[in-house]
Amino acid sequence: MSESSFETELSDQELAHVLTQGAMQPSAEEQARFWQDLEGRLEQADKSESETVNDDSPMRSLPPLVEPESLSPAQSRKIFALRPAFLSVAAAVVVVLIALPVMKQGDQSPQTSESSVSLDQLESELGRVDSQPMTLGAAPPAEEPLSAADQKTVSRPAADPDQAALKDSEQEKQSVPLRKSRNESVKPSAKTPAVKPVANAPKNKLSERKAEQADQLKQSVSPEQLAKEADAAKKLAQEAKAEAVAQRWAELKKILADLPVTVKPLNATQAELQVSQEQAAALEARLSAWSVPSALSHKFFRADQVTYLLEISGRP
Amino acid sequence: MTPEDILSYIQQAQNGDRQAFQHLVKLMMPRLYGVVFAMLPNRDEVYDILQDTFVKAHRALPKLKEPRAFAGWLTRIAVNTTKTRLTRQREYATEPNAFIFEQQSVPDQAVSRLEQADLQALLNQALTELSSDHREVVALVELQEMNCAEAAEILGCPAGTVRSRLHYARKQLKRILFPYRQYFTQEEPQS
Repeated sequence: MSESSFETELSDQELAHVLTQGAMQPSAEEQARFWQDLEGRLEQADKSESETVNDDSPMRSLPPLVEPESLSPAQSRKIFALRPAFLSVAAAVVVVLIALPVMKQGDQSPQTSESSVSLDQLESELGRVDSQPMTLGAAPPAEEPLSAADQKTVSRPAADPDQAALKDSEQEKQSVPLRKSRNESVKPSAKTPAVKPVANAPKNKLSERKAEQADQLKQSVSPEQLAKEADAAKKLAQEAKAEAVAQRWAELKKILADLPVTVKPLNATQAELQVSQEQAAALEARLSAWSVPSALSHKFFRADQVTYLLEISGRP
Repeated sequence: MTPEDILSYIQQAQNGDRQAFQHLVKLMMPRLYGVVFAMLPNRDEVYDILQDTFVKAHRALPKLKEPRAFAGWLTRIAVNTTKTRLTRQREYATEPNAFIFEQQSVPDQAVSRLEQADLQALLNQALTELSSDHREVVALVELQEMNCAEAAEILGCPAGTVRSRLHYARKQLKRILFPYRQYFTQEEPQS
């Protein structure tokens, strides 16, 4: 081959020769065990896949901390975009559930005496009257308006001095048994207007009103605010988890300080540990003492070394 | 193995025939080995990546619509798996030695003609001096013998970009390897 003294690079043929002859090939030993290892992994993958399908525990529905490798960036973005929406809806439901008892109490307060009242409340009020040695008379006709004086004397029924007069009332005979029927309209005496009754208010109407109030309350908390709160909570939880994991990594580093182990971090919580076969037992013993035997899965043997997959969780 | 045989194995493997898949693995593994090694010159890593590649391929094979595109499809999986591995190693490497290229010595001056193993070591050494983009195109075009359009499809970039990268990669390789020219251009000694 002619060689010029000015040449500073290979010819195309020379490069082609190097590329052809120098291309890396698997060793015979690698080729021989490749299928065996692969078959093992395929079976393991099939097994874990079937376990995943059968596993219906509630924990499966939790989102993973680390993105799975199989997800494309676009899929990951979609999933993370859905999270705030889901969290905000969940938070809204929780707020409504918490608010319902408060609203119920609000219904019983005198301030809401202008509005409707639940039958249970009414009955409890009347029950107090009942505990007094007197009989509750039937209510005056619904169309009979309450006088201003009556409304002013709103107080606890038991303390109402006028109630004694009820005993003498001619309407005593027409008294209505309290628990005769829940659907029946119960009208308390004009003399015991602890709360202003709503004539003929059926229970389903009350429920509707409650639902309306719940809706109003729900609307009063903006979804953005809920999402923010949910995000903040999530962030805090993640930070706590990351801190715990970091602490575990530091512990691991200490434990393996004097062992010839190659640690290859794969992601935030996983690492590959490569160790010679002689040191494998020592490594396993130390990790067992460190209380992570379940987190250590043996990956495969090579001629002179063992590779383990270690999963670090935040908990010891 | 004829192309018809390969196609038949692919179709059988798509229907869950493990033995047919084994034939495909035996056929494709050596071909992919060089490609992956050119991108990440570490035997252990290459072995591991190829295992991952075939596991993924086995899982996704029933969904492959065009069995004739099997080789390209499999190469794409191997390249993507390698790239993911490289990215992770860079992201999570805490110590400099967490990302180790297999150290292979450059042949010593006393050797008159390079053995194949030495030639491999020399090429690997040269490849490590290229950027990862350049290594990819060398692996696909020079080692896997794809054309630029096919490589472009796998790498997800225009064919012109592949051509350009290939040009610069080849130029750089020629320069890097030039000092060792005498070892592999010598005539075969007469026996």
